[in-house]
Amino acid sequence: MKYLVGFSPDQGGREALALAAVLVRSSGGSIVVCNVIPETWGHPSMARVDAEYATFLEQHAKKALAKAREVLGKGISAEFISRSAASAREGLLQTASDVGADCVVLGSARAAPLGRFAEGNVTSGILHSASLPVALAPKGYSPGPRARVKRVTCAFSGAKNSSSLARRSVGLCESFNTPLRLATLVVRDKQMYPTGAGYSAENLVSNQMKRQANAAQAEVIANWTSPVKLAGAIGDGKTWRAAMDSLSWKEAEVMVVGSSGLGPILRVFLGSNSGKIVCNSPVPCIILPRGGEADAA
Amino acid sequence: MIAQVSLGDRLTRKKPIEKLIGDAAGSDAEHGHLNRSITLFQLVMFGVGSTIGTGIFFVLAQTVPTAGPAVIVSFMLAGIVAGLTALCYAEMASMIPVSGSSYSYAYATLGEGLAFFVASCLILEYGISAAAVAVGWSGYLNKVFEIVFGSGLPASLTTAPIVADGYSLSFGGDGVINLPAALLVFLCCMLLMRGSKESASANAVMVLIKMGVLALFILIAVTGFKATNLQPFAPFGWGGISAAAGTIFFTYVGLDAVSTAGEEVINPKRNLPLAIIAALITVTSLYILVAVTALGVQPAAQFEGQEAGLATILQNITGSKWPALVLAAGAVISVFSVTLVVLYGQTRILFAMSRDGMIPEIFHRVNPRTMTPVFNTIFVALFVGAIAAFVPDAILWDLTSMGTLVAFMVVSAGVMILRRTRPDMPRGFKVPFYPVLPILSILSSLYLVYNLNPTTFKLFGVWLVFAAIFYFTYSARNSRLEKTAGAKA
Repeated sequence: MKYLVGFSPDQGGREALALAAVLVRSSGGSIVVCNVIPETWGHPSMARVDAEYATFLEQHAKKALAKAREVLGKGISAEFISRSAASAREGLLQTASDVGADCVVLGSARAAPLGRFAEGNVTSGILHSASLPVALAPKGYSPGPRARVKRVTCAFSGAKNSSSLARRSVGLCESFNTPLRLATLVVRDKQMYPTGAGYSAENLVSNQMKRQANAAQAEVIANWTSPVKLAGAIGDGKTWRAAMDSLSWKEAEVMVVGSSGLGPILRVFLGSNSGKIVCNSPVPCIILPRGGEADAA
Repeated sequence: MIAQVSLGDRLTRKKPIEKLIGDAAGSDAEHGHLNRSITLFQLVMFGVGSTIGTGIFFVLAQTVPTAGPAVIVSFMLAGIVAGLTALCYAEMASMIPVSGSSYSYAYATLGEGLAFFVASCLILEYGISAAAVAVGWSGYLNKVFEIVFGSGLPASLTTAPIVADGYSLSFGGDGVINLPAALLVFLCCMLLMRGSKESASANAVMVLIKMGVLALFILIAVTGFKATNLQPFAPFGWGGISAAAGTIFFTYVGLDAVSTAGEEVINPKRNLPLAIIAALITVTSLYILVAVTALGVQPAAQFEGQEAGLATILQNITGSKWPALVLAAGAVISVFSVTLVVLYGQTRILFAMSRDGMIPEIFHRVNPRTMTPVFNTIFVALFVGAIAAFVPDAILWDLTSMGTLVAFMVVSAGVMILRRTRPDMPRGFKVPFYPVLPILSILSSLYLVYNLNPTTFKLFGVWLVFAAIFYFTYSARNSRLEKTAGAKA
């Protein structure tokens, strides 16, 4: 497995690198660290300011990659490249196809609360257009130096086609050699005020949803043929975050999230529910592109 | 073989209260025991918020022709009945330690038969009143169009094809469909499907808007007040007053939003009756002020058939457009929120019934993506939307009043039955002046029902026959309690 880390010399970049290290330790393979710098104007300009700027960028990239080397340490096979492109998104996706990466690894924007993820503008662009899986490190992600993925949790909505995501996660579990867990999140809706139907009416709805999710999970587990071990869990709460936190998490667990059916086929496209899962997950998320059976990272 | 359950057993079997609690309990510790968090002020706001907007904006056009200026007395009469029933309902609600609708309370205490009966009345209270409110909303929306664009929508698109001449219904007139009303219902249902809710603070804003526009109306209308317009005061005598009070009762529907809050109210013994009375006084005084000033401005004869009545009256007195526009816009916004609240109530009551096996299972199927009962909401949208589009509102108001009054009579009777059969059961709130108050509540409700129009009785009868057929062919067999009884046997 080849992991492409979109690296910037800041905390988010270091966290992405740490996640890539965990993944590579678990599945084997190598890392490509890529730092994207802005394209400069090709023509010589007066007083060579452009050339000066280009040199500065080059220096900057070199420094950044040196830092990455330092953070990553020895023992992991890694390649360090810098690339100039019109946008970070374009540069990363180009590099991914050039080096034949299997997964892009990115860090969180600094706006996220500690331990959660927030989209920055680079991740946002990639989360709506990448054609390969994207792994996201939450803010403050700091696994131990020997951490390996212990379990893969797959977001399972209970809708008709959501078992396909479980099947697609099998590849990941096999390469990590971990069991798989289906997790359904039941978020109790806000209560309507005022109402004559009772002020706990929404509990009725969320309890029903839990029952349905249980049944849907049991069905998938009963029909499970893969040798990867499969279990189910339901998290619930008033908010996505509370629902996420009500699940138990192992250290160095990853969560697999599918792409929205609204997006183009074979691309990553974060829907509204998966977007909320990604932003509230306490563990790194891997977002798989839509459809296709063999492209699980 | 499933053991044969006798009809009597079916009709009187009760849902165990533990089961009711289990259905509505959250899994987190905080929701295991409902946290008492609603304050007195909030509760009053809930009462006012869900009551105003269900009728005062429209009801004068229908009731002044029935009662003349004495409609003021009708408002008081309806208010008193509403208060009595709300107090009885509050005792029933406080007996069961979870919040629910009167259907759930009746199921736990009075048995399945009466619960189903209450539920079919509740469909009138919620479904039909949502349609009625949507029709009224359509009038105000059209008024806004008229003022802003100079001409409203064509009559064929804003009137129902069924015409009510007094109370006799017939097809005809130039109406084809009441499009805005149907659209409003669909819009609200779309919001509900996406999980949008009105929060307590949004409700407070809506209350301010409603009270603001009504205050605007009162302040402007009082300048055109002519006492001669109130003469003759009661041209149709006591009969007219009572008949109008029956229709007007519809404008107090929504007060049960206070009663059902039982378990979540801080200090319910004190706050529940206070909130009911405070909300009632606020609402009734606003209604009466609006009625008095409106009656002072124009002769009683002019009210008949006036669409978007309050806005039109403002336009006539001031001769300028903006006060009418402000009022109409306020009505459009706040009546929209009332429709949302009422439709929500309808979907959740059907949800609870479906959980109990009273109606098919698909009504409590939750869509895993939106996490809302989508089929249920679409069904309600189609049902209510069709009524709003094709039936004139005059008949809808009376039907709502009928359903609500009958449901509340059962509840009041239930309070008395339970005082005898379950005297030991803890009650968070007890009706004062027992047994006078529940008896008065039943008698006064009966009086209002008795004075409703015969057409309403016919329609109500037809509806009940349908409900009964459905109960005996479907619900009685599919009730969850039937299954547990079968398992035991």
